[in-house]
Amino acid sequence: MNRIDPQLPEATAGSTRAPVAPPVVAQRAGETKATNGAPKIQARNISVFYGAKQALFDVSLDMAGKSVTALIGPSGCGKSTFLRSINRMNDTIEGCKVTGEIEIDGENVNAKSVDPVLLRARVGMVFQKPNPFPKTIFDNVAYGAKIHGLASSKKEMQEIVEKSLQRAGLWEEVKDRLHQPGTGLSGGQQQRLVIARAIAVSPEIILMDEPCSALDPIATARIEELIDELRANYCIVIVTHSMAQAARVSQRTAFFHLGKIIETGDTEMIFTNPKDSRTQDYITGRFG
Amino acid sequence: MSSDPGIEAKRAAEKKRLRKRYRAELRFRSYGVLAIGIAVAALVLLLVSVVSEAVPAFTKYQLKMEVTLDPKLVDPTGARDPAEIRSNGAGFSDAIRASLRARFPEVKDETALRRQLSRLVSTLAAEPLATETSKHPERIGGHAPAHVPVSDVIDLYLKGLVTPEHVEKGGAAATLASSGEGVSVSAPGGFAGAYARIADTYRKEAEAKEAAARQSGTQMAPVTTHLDELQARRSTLASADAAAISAAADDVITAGDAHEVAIARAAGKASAPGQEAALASLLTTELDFRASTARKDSDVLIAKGQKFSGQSKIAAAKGEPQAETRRLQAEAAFLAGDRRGVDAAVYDRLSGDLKSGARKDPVAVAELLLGRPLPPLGLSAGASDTAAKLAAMTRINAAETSAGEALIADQQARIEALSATEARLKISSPERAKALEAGALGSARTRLTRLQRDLERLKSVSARLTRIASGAPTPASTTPDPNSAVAGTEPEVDDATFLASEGAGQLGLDNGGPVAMAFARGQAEGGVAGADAALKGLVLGHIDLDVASARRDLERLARKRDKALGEASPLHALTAVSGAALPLNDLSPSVLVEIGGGVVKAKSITPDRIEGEALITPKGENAAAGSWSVREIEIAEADRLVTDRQAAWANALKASGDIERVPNWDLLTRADSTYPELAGLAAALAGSFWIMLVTLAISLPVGVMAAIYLQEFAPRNRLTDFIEVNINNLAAVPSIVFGLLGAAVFINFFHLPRSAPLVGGLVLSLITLPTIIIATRAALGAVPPSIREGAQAVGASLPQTVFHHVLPLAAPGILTGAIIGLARALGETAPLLLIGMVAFVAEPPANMLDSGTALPVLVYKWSGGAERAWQPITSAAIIVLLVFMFAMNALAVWLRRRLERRW
Repeated sequence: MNRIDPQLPEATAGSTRAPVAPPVVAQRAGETKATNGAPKIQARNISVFYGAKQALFDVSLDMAGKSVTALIGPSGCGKSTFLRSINRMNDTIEGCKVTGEIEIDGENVNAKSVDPVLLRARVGMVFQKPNPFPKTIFDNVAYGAKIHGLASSKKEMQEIVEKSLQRAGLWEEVKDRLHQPGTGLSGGQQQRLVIARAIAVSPEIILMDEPCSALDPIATARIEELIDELRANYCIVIVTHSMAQAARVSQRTAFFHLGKIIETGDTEMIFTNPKDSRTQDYITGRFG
Repeated sequence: MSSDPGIEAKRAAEKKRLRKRYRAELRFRSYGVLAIGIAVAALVLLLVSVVSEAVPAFTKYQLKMEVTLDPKLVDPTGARDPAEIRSNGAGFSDAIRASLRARFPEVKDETALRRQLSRLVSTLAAEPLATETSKHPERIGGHAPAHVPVSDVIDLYLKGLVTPEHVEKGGAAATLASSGEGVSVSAPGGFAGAYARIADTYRKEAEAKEAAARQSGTQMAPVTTHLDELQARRSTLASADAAAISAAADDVITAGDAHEVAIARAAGKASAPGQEAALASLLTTELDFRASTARKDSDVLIAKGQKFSGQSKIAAAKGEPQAETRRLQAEAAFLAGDRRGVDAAVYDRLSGDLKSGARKDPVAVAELLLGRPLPPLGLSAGASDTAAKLAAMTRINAAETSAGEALIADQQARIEALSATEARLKISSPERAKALEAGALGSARTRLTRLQRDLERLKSVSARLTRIASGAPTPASTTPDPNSAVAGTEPEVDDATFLASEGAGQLGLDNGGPVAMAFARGQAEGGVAGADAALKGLVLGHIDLDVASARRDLERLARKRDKALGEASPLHALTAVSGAALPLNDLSPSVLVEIGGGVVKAKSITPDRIEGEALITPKGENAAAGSWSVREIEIAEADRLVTDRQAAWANALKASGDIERVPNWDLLTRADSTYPELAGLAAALAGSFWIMLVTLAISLPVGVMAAIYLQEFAPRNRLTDFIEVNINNLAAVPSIVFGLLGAAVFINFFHLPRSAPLVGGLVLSLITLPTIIIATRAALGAVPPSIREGAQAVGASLPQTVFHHVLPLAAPGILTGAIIGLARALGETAPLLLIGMVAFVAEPPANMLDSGTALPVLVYKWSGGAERAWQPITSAAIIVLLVFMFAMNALAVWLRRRLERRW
C-alpha cells in the first residue's frame, strides 16, 4: 500500500492514509509561521446543537489569514460542524442552533445584521464530494460572479473565469472545452473546478471539508499543491482525516475530539510534540 | 485439502445453500415474469378488443349519385336565396329520393317500397347537398353530384355486421323466364349449394321441433302416472268402508282445510247427544284464539293511536297548523276504533255465550267461523220417502233460519260499531271515513244484505214446506222464489220438483260443493251414515279435483307436443325428397339471384331452378356461367332491419360503384348527431382541447408554485404539515365530488354557463392540482442536497438556489407529473357529467364559454346508444381518446429523457 510510483514523490506522502506509521511532516520551502498580526477568524465559545443533541461544546479557535489551518479528529468529533458554522451553512439545516461568536476581521458573523448570503460570498466553501452544477465549466465558474454582479461585461466575466481557473490550476486542462458540462470532468478536475468556482467570487476565506477524501492520490497531490499556492492569498481552513495531509498543507492544526478542541498549535508542534496524550494517541493511530 | 472431511462437509452445506438460493431467486423471477405477463395480457386484450370493435367505424359507405335539382323541390319560391336554399333540407331530401326512384323504377308509387328505398340513405343525407347548392344556386334545374352517407343499418349490412351471407358465382348457364306475376331462373345445378344449406336449415328446424315435442312427451309421462295413481285410488276409495275413508281423509284433504274440517266434523257430530259440548268447546277455543289475535292487533293499533294522539296534543300546544293537528287526531281516532277491535269484541261475546250456554246454535257459530253457510246435504236427491224428506228439510230449514237470524244480528252489531267509528272519523278525517265506508263497512253491509236475502229465501222455502206438509194445493199467487224472481226465468214448479230440486240441487252432496260443510250437515241430518257418505263425497271430490287438474296438464302438454309435431312434419315432408322444391318466406333464409343487372328473390328453390319475384328487373333471358350469382342471406328477413329489397338495392349500387367505401373522416370532422352514421368527434375534440387548455393554464402554474413554496420556503410547522396532509387527501377524493363542487360553486354561485369548457377546465384543474403539487414536490425533493449546498456556498440566496439550480433539475419530473395529471384529467368523465357537459352538442365550441362536451363524456353517451351502429363508433372514439392519452404519456417520457441531466 505504501509503495507508490517513485516518479510521483509528492503522492508518496499523500497515500499514507492509515495513521499506522507516524506521519511524515513535510518541510516546505517558503513556509512561514502563520502569525502575521491579528487572526482572520476568531471563534469564541462556539456551541452547536442539532435539535436536543449538542455537537460542539464551547469551542474557541483563532485562524490566521494567508495560512492554512487544519482541523483533525476522529469521525463525528465536530470538525465539519465547526467549519460550517464559519460561513453559517448550518443555517440551512433544520433545527440547528449555533451559540457563541465567530468574528471575521472583528465582525461577528452570527450578528443579525450580517446577511448569510453576503457572508458566503466572502467565505467560499469546498465540499467533500465535488459538486459542480450540471452546467458548462464556464457557467460553473461564472455563476457566483454573475449573481454577485462582479462582472460588468462579457469580457470581464471571461477574465474572471480564466483567472479563477488559472488559480485553481485547471485552465490548461479545460481551456478548450469551457462550454462542455462540468460534470464531465474527472473527480480531481471537478474538485478544482469547484475551487475555481469558489475563487471566482473573490472570497477572503476558503473552507474545505475533506476536499480530497473522494479523490485518488494523484488528484489529491494536485489539490494539495493548489492549497499551498492559494495560501498566499486566502485564509484557508481545511478539515481532513489524513494526518499526513494536515501535516503537509497546514501551518496550524486543531485536534477535535468529542465536540471539543483538545489541542491546538503549530502543525509542526502538534505532529512532533503533542502536549495532550489523546492527540498523541490519535496521530499515532491508537484510536480514531 | 479436499480429503479433509470437515472441509468436504462444509462444501456440501455451501452447495446445498446455493441450490436453495438459486431456487428462491428463480421463484422470484418467475413471479415477476408472471406479474408482467398479466399486465401485458390485460393491455393487449384491451387494445385488441377495442380495435377490433372499432375497425368497422374507420370506413363508411357512401352513395355517390347525380341528383336532379328539380326547382320545384329544392327552391319552391324561385328566389334563389342561399339562406333559404340551405334551410330547405326537406326539399333536397325529396330530390335525392326522386333520383333514387329514377334509378330503381320497380318501386313505382308503392308507399311501402318508396319508404324502404328512401331509408337506404341517411336521414340527414341532404344537408351537405343543400349547403353546396346554396353556394352554387345556378345548378338548380340541372344535375349536381352528391355524396350521401348510407343509413346506419345499410352501412352495417354492407360491412357484414347484420347477417352472415353466402355469395356463390353461378356455375352453369342460366335462363330467365317470366311466369305470370313472377320470374323463374333455371340453371342446372346452379342452386345446389344454397338449396343444400336451406334444406339443412329446414331439417335442423324440424329436428328442433321434434326435440321440443319429445320433451313435451317426456313431461307427460309423470303426469300420466300421477293420473293413473289418482284414478286407482279413487276407485279403491269409492268402494272402501267408512273407517278407510276416514283414514284417507286426513291425507287427501290438505293442511289448509284441516282446521275447517275439524270444526265441520265437530259440528256434524253436534246433533248426537253429548257431542254438542265438544263442538262448543272447539268453537270456544277457536273463538278465544281469534279474539286474542284480533285484540293483539287492535292493541298495537291503539298504542299507535295513542302515540298519534300524544303527538296531536304536542302539535296543538306548539300551535302547529291546525290541519296537521286534526290529521293526527283523526289518525288516533281511526286506529282506536279499528274494526279489529270490533272483531275481538264480537268473538269474545260469542265465546262467552257459548261457554255460559246462552247460545244454543253452535252450528250457526261454526258457520260464522267458516265464513259460509252449512248446506242441508243429508238428503239424497233420489229419496222416495217424501214425508221423511219433508220432515228433514223442515228441520234443516228451521235450524238454518234461526242461524241466519243470529248471523244477521251479529252483522248488524258489527255494522253499528263500524258506523260509530265512521261518524267519529267524518268530523276529524273525512278521507279515513270514506276509506272505511268503502272498505270494512261496505263489505259488512253487502254481507248483511246477502244474509238477509238468504233468510228471506229460507223463510219462503219454509212457508212452502209448511204448505206442502199441510197438503194445501199450490196457490196461484205463491210468493215467488227470490232466486227465480231474480233470474226471472224459472217458472213456478210443482211440489215434487220443488222438493227434489231443494233437496238435491240446493246444496247437493254429489256436486262436491263446500265439502266440509256438507260433511257437517250430513252428520246433523243423516246421522253417522250421512256423515260417512258426506266424508266419502268430500274425499272423492278432492281426488276428482286433482284428477281434473292432472287431465288439464296432460291436455296442455299434448297440445304443445302436437303443435310441435304438426310444425315439424311439413318441414320433414319438404326435405324428405331430395331435390324437391323448398318454399322460402320471411322466416327462412333469403335467396337473392343477381342476374342480368337485376335481382330475383326466390320464393321456392330446387337445385336447378328458383321461382320468385324480380326485386330489380333483370335484362336479357340468358346468362353465361359465372356472369350471375346467388346470394344467400342467413338471417330471416323478419329478424333483421334490412329488407331483402334494400339488400338487393344496396348490393346493386355497390356492384355498380355508386356505393363506395371511403375513410370515415366524418368521425373526426363532424360534431355529434342523433344518427350514428353522421356522428363525429369534432365537438368533443374541440371541447377537450379547451378544457385541457384551461386546466393546464390553471393547474400547472398554481400547482408548481404551491409545491415550490411548500417544499423550499415554507417553515416546517403544524400548519404546513396540515396543508401537506390535506393535499394528499385531496388527491384521493373521488372525482365526482369535484364535479358536485363545480356545479355548486362555478355554476350556481358564480353563474358561469353550464356545459362550458371553462367550467370543465376549472373543475379538472382542481382534480389535477394535487397530482401536480405532489409530483413537483417529489421532483424537488429528489434534487441532491449537494447542488443546493454548492450554490449556497458561492453565495446564492435561497430563491436563487431554487430557481437557478433546483428547479431546472426538477423540471423533467415536474413536467412528467403535470402531463400525467393532465392525461388523467383528459380521461375524467364523472365530474363533467355533473356540470352538464353530457349535453348534445352539434357544433364544436368556438371558445371556452360555448357549450361543449369532452371525449370521455361522448364515449359514455355513445355507449348508451340504442342502435347497433353506435357500438363501432364508440370504440373508435375510445381509440381516439387512447391515442391522445398515449401521446401525452409518450410526451412525458420524451420530455423526461430530453431534459434529464446528470449531476
